[in-house]
Amino acid sequence: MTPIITLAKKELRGLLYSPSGYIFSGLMAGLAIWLFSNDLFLLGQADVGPLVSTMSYLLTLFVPAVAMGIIAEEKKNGTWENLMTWPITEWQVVTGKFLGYGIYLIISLGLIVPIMASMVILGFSEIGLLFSNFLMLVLLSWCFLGVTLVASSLSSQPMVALAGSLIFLLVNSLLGNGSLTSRLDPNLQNFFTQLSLSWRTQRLGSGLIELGNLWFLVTFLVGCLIAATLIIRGRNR
Amino acid sequence: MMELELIGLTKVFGTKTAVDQVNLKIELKGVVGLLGPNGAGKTTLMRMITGYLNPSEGEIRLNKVKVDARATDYKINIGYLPENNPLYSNLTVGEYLVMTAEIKKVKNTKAEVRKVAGECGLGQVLGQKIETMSRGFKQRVGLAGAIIGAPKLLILDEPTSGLDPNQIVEIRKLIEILAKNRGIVLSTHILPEAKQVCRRLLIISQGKIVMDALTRDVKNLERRFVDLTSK
Repeated sequence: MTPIITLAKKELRGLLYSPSGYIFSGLMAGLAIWLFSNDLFLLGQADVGPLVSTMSYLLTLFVPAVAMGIIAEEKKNGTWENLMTWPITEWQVVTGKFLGYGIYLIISLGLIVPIMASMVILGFSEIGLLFSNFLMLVLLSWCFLGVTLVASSLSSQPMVALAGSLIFLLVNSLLGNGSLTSRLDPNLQNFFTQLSLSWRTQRLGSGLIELGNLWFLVTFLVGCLIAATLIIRGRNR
Repeated sequence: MMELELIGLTKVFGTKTAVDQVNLKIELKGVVGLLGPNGAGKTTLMRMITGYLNPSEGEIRLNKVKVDARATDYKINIGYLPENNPLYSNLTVGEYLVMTAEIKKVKNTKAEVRKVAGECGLGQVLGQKIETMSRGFKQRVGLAGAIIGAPKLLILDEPTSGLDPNQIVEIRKLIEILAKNRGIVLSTHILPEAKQVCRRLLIISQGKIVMDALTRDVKNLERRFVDLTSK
C-alpha cells in the first residue's frame, strides 16, 4: 500500500499547494452558488434536484480541467520515465493518482455543503436525501476523473487529454437529457439515456437507491481505472 | 561477483531496430562507460535495463537468474538518472527524497534520506524547493534519488550534459565515490570523461556493441570511436 499512499499524498499536495487547485475549486463553488441561488429565488423552492443538475454540468467542465495533466503532464515533463523505473506497478500508479485527485474532489465538493446547509435552514427537511446526493456527486466526479485519467494516459499533452475527456463527457451528458437522441426510436433513445453518467446519478439522487444505477457507476469507474492501467502498460512496451 | 547479463537484447520500433542483439555482462562494481553517437541506441538500451521499455527479443539475467525487468523486485536493484534529469520541481529536496524512499520501500526512510543527502552534498538544502536550485544541484538531487534504497546498479544517462565545468568536476567526483560500492553504467558523449571515470568502455553504433574493452587497454579512444561509429 505504501507506494499508492505516497503517490496519492504527492498528488494531493501538488493540488493543495498550487494556486490553480484553489482557483478551480473556488470557481466551481462560486458558480454553483450563483446558479443555484438564481434557481432558488426565481422558483422559490428549496429543492436538491436543481443543485445536483447544476453540479453535474459544472463537474463535466471542472474535473477534466483539473485532472487533464494527471499523467500527460508527467509524460510531458519527463518525470514519467523516472516514475516508471521505480519499483511501483502500473496499477499502483493509477490507483495512487486517482486517490490523490479523488480526495481533492471530495474537498472541493465540500465547498457546496454551505448551500445544502442553507437549504435545511430554508425548510428542506430531508437531510438523508441531501447526504445521499452529496455522495452521488462524489461518485459522479470520480467517474469523470476516471474518464480524464484514461484520456490523460493516452496522450503526453494535457490539452489533448482535456479536449478528449470534455468531448466524451459532454456527449455523455447530452445523452442523458435526450438532446442528441430525440429523433431516435424510443427504445434506442432509452438505451442511450441509460449510458449517461449524469442521468444515473440524478436517478440515484432522487432518494430511490436503485442498485442497477449504483452498479453501473461503480463498474464504469473500475473499468476506467483498468483501462488506464492497461493503456500505460501497453504504451511502455 | 554479482553481475547483470544481457542476452540477445533487441528493441524494434516499427521498422527501425534501435538495439540489435546486445550480449553483455556487467559486473555490479565500478563504472562501465557506454559511448556512442546520437541515435546509436544508448538510451534505448538503458531504458530496457531499467524496465522502462520491454525488449522485443532477448532477456536480462541478474546473478544468472532470468528476470522480468518490469517487476518491482527487479527494479529495486536499479537506480536510474534519465537524460535531462526530470524531477518534481514543486517539491523540496527532502520531500522528493522521502517520496522516492517510500516508493522504493526503504525501511528507515529518514535515516536513508539523511545518508544519501550527505553522500550527495545535499544535507544543507533539504528544505529548498527543487525549482529554485542550480542545474548542478538538481543533478545531485537526481543522483540522490537514484541511489536511495542502495540499488546494486546505477544507470546514468549523460549525467554531466548541460553542466558548467565546475559542476562537471563535482558530478564526476561524486560518480567515482558512488562506484565504490555499486555498479554504474554511464552513458556519455564526452570521451575524456569516459576515460577518466570508467573502468571499462563499450561503444554502441547502430544498435550494436562494436567495442568492449578495459579502459587501460584502449589506445587512442577518439580515433577508435570515429572509426567504429562513422560508417
